[in-house]
Amino acid sequence: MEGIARIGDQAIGPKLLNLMPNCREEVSGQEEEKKLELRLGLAPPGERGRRHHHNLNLRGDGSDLDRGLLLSSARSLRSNVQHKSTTHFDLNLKDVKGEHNTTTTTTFQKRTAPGPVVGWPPVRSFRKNITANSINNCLKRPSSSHDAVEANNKSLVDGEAIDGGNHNYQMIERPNGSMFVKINMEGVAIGRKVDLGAYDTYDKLSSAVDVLFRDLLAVQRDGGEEAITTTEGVDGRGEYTIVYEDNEGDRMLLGDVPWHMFVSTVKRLRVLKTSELSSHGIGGRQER
Amino acid sequence: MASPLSFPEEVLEHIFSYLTLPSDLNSASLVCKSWYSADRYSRRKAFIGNCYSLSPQGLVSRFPNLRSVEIKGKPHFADFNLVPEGWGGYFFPWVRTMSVAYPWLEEIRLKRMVVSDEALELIGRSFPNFRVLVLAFCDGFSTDGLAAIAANCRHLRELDLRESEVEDSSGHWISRFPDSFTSLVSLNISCIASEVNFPALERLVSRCPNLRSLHLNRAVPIEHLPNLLRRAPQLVDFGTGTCSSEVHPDIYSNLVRAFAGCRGLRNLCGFWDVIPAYLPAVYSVCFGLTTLNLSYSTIPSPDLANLINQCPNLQRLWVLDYIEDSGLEAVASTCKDLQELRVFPSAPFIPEANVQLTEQGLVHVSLGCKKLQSVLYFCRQFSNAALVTIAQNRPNLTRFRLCIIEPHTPDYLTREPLDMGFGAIVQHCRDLRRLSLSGLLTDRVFEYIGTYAKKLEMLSVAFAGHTDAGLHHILSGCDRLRKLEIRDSPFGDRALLTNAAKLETMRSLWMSSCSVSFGACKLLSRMMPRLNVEVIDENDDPCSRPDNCMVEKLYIYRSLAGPRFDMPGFVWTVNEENSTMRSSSALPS
Repeated sequence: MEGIARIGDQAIGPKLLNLMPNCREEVSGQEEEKKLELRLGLAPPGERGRRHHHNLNLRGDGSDLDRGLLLSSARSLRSNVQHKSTTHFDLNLKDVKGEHNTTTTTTFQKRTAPGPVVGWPPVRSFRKNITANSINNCLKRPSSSHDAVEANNKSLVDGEAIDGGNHNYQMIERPNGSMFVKINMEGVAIGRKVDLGAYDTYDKLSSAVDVLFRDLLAVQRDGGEEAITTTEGVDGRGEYTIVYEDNEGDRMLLGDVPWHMFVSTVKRLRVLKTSELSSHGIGGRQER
Repeated sequence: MASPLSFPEEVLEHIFSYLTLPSDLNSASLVCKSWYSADRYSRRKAFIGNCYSLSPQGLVSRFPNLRSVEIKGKPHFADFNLVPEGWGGYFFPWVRTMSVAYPWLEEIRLKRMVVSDEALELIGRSFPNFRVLVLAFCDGFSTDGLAAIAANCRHLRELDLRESEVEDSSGHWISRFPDSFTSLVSLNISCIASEVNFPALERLVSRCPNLRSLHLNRAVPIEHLPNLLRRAPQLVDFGTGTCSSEVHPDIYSNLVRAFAGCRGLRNLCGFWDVIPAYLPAVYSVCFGLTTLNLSYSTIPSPDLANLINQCPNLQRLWVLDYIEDSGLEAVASTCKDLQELRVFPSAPFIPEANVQLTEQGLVHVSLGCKKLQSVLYFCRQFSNAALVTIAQNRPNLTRFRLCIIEPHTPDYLTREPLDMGFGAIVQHCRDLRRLSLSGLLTDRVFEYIGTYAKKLEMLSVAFAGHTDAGLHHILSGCDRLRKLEIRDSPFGDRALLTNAAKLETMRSLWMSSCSVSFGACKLLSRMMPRLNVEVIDENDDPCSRPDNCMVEKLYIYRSLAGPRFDMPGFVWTVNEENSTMRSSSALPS
């Protein structure tokens, strides 16, 4: 990093000038050439002025170089971004916004407020969905000093979609690995909740739902009517079929995807009459 | 006139076969014509860091007898969706040329390239001695292509698909390895989403006595593990499948016994969805572990700490931020040999912290782990003080990548930019080769980097800097810089054009959402004919706009091959007549 950096000879200079549009900077005519001259030198620490010292009491070995490096508080830095001293890149470029900022928002932002940004933070796609797909996801940390639970709940219910990825996190507390989702049966006024964490296969879930609603139906039809035989099943051959709604709002037949994928995407379950499946937009068209 | 020092070529070639570093061989080849020739014919390995830096024909004519080729394609930011689909990086032209020129090719290692099934089939047909296929972060192929490899590569030793995207046609490709096939040493199928034919996999494992490395995919349930491990107790490197099913006592005790039988196990990974209750099953191998990758496991901190406390010989640890500061304190006190730490974010897209992971965790590790060289750390807050402490504790750092999740985040204690902190890093860590910046940063940090980071080879910049001075400091100061990638930073024409010559000493430069004008791209291209200056614009034709308009994305790299011919419609490059040229989007394979 030695002093002057130029390209070739001075013939380049004017060409560079012509290229520079007016839309970004105002360079006063007479001083253009001078300002194009690039001078770069890092002043010895002392020159920066001890008044810029910042009281960072670190390991404090007190070497001059360290102190020099630790100098310059942000305040002086910001106000001196267009430093007139010789220690800086000597072009009179203004900030993109044309002003110095003393706030934390920098000059170069394409968005006015923090929001979804493509490719940021820099995590690869297969990492993005790890926690969304894990049944052990427990986003609340008991030891957390930030009381982030409320904030978490709120922000996740809003469910920002970034990058088109799968970002509807399941914000259900699962202290013991349990995972309750709502289940409604057609013809039954009151829904129930079933703990998906208690099962690991579709068969077990299906029989549990069977038991649950058989009781419900029996209760509902008190009086003389017989209990309805609810031969439910994942294969849709019984009178009732279990379907579920996933995090994208689609209705799916139970059993379509591997169990762990189902568990990570399911939002609610529904028990529908098999004969009326096609009217709900599923089942009839699907080949199994 | 024969000099007494001239050897027959065969002797020279034999001597050169003892030189392993490409840089040494390159130096030898420059000594004189006969050494150049000897090196040329005896070179066995080639590493091509940018697939567009030379043509396949160029490679085979320069080195006619290669046995091993490593090629990298897309720019690094392609990992984060910044490079549009169809950009390029096709492997087929390479394999087509090599299939003729290198019948004795043994090894192909690719990173971020588009590999078609056709290319894989060509590998199977063309190289009878083929041994090693590594496809890292690649895409474009399906399990049909893998079936072709399995069926035809009789001497295959390594099949490693790390993090590639594989289209699943069926899990039966594993069955295509013939019964007589026994040479497998390493198999990594962790990226394959669907179920693989497990009985076939078991049989494969059983008949390959030299199998040292096996990474299963997520679809393999934990119940299958004990039998598998029993067939391969010689494993050194193992990746589990999913570990989420209910803990049955039988399965658990089988697992314990199986792991206990693998006395040589040194690396463990996988652990998708793992229930903490399973973890003690691996305790018997923990003492010998040198690598532990738990970055897919959402295990809470206390369980993580318990596991890590069993691993005093750990050299490399990858975890999610569930480890929290408390878990990292355990790392700092237990893992005295730790060289590499990576902490990934569990919930990168929510603004608030969901875990108690701060800069303190890394500070503890920097103090306790004296051999720490490589850091990748995602968190939500940092301070200059912490960075300075880390720098002073660990001047032996060679890779330092800090990602503060929210852009422009200042020092949380002082609200100032983090210039000083990163400045301390580059000042103290004189052997730093790779650096990624984040947080609120002004031009000052680049001044420090240009002054002190003399060994820096790769720099990643995002949402940083104020003026062109920042970019100028980097390009004029970092003598060893090879790769520079910048996004969302206000660097523009002046710094780029002033340092045009520097760009030819680097492998590549990526700039997206910066302030470089189309006119400057054209000018740079005219000035530097051995650079390919490619403008990526998905919305518009940059020629239709005035020259002073900014380009969306810019990728500049040196090349012996001239502008490429496989550019899609959204990539422009400048030809010599000062107008733009846009290649057709015909794909080569």
